[in-house]
Amino acid sequence: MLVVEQLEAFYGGNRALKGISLEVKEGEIVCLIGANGAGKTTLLNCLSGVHPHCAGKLVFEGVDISRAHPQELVRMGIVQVPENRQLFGPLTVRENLELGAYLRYGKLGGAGFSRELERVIERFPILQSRLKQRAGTLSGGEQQMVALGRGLMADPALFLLDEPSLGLAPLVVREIFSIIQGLRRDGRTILLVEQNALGALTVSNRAYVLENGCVTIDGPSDVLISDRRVQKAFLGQDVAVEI
Amino acid sequence: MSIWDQFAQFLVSGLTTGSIYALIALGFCITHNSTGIVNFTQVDFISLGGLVMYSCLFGAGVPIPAAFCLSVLAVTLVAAMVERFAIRPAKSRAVIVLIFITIGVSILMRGVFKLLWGKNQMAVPSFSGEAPVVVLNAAILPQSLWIFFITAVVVIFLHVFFNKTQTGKAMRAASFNRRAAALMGINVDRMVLLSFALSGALGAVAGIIIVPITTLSYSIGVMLGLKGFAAAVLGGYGNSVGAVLGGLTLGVLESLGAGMISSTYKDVIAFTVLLLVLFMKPSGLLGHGEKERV
Amino acid sequence: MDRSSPALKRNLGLLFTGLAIVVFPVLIPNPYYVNVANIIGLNAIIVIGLNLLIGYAGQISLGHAAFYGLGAYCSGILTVTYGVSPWMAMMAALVVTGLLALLIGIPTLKLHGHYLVMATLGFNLIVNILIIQWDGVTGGPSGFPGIPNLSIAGWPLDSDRKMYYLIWAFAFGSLLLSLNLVRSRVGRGLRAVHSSEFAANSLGVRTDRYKVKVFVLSAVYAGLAGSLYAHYLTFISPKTFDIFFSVELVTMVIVGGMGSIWGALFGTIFLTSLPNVLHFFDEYKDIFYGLILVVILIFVPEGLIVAARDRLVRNGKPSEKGGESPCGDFKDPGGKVACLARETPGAAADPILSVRNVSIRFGGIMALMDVSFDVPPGKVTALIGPNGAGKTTMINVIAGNYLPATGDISFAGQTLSGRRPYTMAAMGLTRTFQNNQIFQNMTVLENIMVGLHSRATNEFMSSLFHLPGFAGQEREIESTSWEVLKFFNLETTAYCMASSLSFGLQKRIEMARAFASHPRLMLLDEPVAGLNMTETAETAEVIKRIKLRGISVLLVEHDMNLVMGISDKVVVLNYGRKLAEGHPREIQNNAEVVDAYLGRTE
Repeated sequence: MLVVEQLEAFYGGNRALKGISLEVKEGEIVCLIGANGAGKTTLLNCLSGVHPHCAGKLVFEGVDISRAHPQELVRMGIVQVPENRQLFGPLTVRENLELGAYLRYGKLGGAGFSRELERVIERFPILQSRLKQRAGTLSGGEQQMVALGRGLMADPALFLLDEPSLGLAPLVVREIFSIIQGLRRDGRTILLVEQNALGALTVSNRAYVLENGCVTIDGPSDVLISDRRVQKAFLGQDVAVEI
Repeated sequence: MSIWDQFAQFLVSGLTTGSIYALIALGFCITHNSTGIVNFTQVDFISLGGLVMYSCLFGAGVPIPAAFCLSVLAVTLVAAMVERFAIRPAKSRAVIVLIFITIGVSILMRGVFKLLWGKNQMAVPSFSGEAPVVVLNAAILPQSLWIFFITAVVVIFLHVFFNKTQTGKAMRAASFNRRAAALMGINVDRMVLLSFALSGALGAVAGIIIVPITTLSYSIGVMLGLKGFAAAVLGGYGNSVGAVLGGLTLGVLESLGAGMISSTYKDVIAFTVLLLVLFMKPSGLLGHGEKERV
Repeated sequence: MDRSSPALKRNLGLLFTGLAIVVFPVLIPNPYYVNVANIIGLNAIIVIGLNLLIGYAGQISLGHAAFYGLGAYCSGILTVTYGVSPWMAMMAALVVTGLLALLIGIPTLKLHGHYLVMATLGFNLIVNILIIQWDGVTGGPSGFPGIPNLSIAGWPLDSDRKMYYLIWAFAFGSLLLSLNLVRSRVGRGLRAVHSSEFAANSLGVRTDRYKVKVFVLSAVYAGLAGSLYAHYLTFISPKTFDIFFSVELVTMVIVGGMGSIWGALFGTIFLTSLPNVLHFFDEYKDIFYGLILVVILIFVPEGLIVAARDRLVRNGKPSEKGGESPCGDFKDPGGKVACLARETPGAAADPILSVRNVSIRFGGIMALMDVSFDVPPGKVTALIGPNGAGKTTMINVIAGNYLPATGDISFAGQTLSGRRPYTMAAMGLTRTFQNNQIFQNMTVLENIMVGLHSRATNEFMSSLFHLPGFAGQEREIESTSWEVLKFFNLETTAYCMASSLSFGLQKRIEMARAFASHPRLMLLDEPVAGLNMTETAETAEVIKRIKLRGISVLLVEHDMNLVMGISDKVVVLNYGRKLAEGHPREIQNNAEVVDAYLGRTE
């Protein structure tokens, strides 16, 4: 579905991505793990068209999207849930969710729109009581759900999730990952970027490890989960502990 | 006239100018929220509204309602052009630079106005006659009633626009977080253009409805605009409810001050209020306090 | 261009300007043009001062016409209505403008954001209206006539020619003073404030005070010009001092280039003479002005002089291996000069930094919860933890940027709690920033020199007039900076603009800057984030050498190889709490820590 070839990107004066190649097949969850500063968010921003300095080839469902505008990409179904949620704080939860379907409004019409909203709220029932609250006042976990819901409203063909577990308490993290597994069961294609390697490897089919702007390891998630090299990538040399 | 009658009179005239300040303050508010800058061309949108209205009425003999619409449309277009051709192409996005670009465009526009319409003051007729209406011992000009009515309509329209339409919500979203809005598929550049257009329309309306009372000239918008800016700061810069509140409050304060203390120093009142607000509570009446951010 | 002698270039420039000033009325004696030159001179005095405010301190004022007017009316009213002598009246004018600037500046400059623009705008409007309305005192809109000329030793300055020399003497003087100020500890501090207030604060620059002082200075310049104006034209009217003139003044600064004193002079000459000399612009004057301003700001926002200068002088990148320096030859002042004295940390085992029960909350989240740990002296301590664990928050609390809700921090026996960031450097605590806060608008050498801000004392007066003691301190600052550059292998880049260098070099410069004052403890916030393997290894070496100098280091990092390689002690944070603390080996083998990192949850 998505093919990335030799993607390079600059961040500040720096080469954040040094020639990444990866692919995502339909119906898969692929995860991208790596330490902070490895270039994960930059990669997603290139895919979403919001990073100004990307070079390389990006092909989505056979179409070259290397030079596409962010609006076109959303229209094609590439939807990102950004790092740190990035909700529209002063707007209500409902308004945030509505804006997720901003481009679909014309096609859906009023009734179709309400139906989509209801479907999303079904998946995140806790939001039902929060619809009229300003999004900025919700807890971290609830905000993450609004962010995911907002993304779902766009009916993504390729769902890009940037560190959904960031800054959340362990129990909430578990809930988020189970939601992601639910999305996988629905057949959605997901590219999941995470620092929480264990969680990401558990829910995904395949994984790429990103270090300093390069892919250093890749393979099926169940294999990588017990791979020493992955542990090393996170904790430095000579880790003695058995996972 | 008893003291209460005087007070009522001042209140009416204060609310009249206050409505104008409110509209202007809203204009400043909208462009500030979408771009982070103070758009000084706002003052010229006010003048231009009045000037085009004048030309429509006397140059082309167009009836008032049509002239009103044409004038607002013309200024909206000009405002959009300011954003498209002066703001968007700027190499530096620093706030200071953009503010001064608006100042430059403002100077340019006033120069053009002076050339096209001359330096003289012009008279514009009220919408429906000059005979004051008396309500509870206060004489109200019919134009004042028009001002109240139109301001109310505009404020309601804006409320509906920003809270009930997709475009309005998208504008609020883009003002808050550009990148996240882009990720929703919102065309952020277009939202900025729209914000300028909207503020142009607001300025034009303000200018059109007040010039029958204040008379018209190529620079009438400057003083009004600056006071509207003071009103925006008073209400809480960037806060739209604050803009309306600040506008009305400032208008009334100014009117009472001029009537009861001294009318020669009337213009000082608005700017003294501005300074006091900046010294004591820069976030204004409705703004949140300034937090020390790292 | 030869960058090795900026002093020579400057002196040549001053010489040329001085000559031009003296020669002009001889070459062009026509009184009309002398009059124009006088107005240019007056404007130049104001604009040079305004440029210090805008270009160096980064604050915009739309009210300088009001200070100009206050100077003029003060002089006029005192001499005509009260019979005060003109020179005394001028002194009074300077005091009045200074005091009013202080009144406006103090409340507005302590806020972040562009409040000064709004306040000065309001101020100008008020002053203008008052001048017009208070006609009993000021003569109102028709103006105030009959102001006496200034005299020197009984000799009245009553012609264009005579006033020309006085005005331009003052203009030259203000040029000189401003150039003095800019090339001084204070000047560097101002430019630092413009570039990054946080970094400037962390190095001991009192940003609030500096901003106010430079605002007052610029206002006094304008007041001086106003007084001269009054005694020159002997008639003043309010129309000269409206906000439109304030805007013109700022335009002159911008057109020449903010932050360039010569640019300010150029902008003034260009924009003042143009409408005067080309009469037919009169009708179109506004359109012309507006167009110039808009076009320049859209395409050349750095200003004309600055753009021209940048094109003439190439700021190259130094080659990777050192060798030749495209930024120009450097002049090693030679000789060994002692570092400004600093006590060495005691040999005792007392921790250099003690964090006790620190908690802080942001919004609804406890970013730090009851965190306690010690930083041993003379060692490298690493603070690690997954993203969002609270590491940078901890650094910011220690550095004084945030106030903790509970808990206490003591540094070398003194408590840090409640102290403002700018006191830290003097106490021996410096830091680097996660997001590169290098001073982009200065050379590498100047960046290091700001690092020594807390080790010197010459202030505004000393810098303006180069009082005794100034030159000595400057020399010491400069030579110590060269030592620092050598320590960090940065000598070849000394004269390069920091903004032109690679990311890796910029990070090194930031570390060198924090090191310059030989602190007792350096806080390094992600020093190798974004660096490649070679650069990371180099940084590790540098940190080891810093430690050898007896400086303690507390560093926050994600790069585990680096952390395990150079730390003596590791403290682990997770979700705002301290998870573990100990020797790197212990931490690596700590199952809880491994879990936290890899994401295993209970």
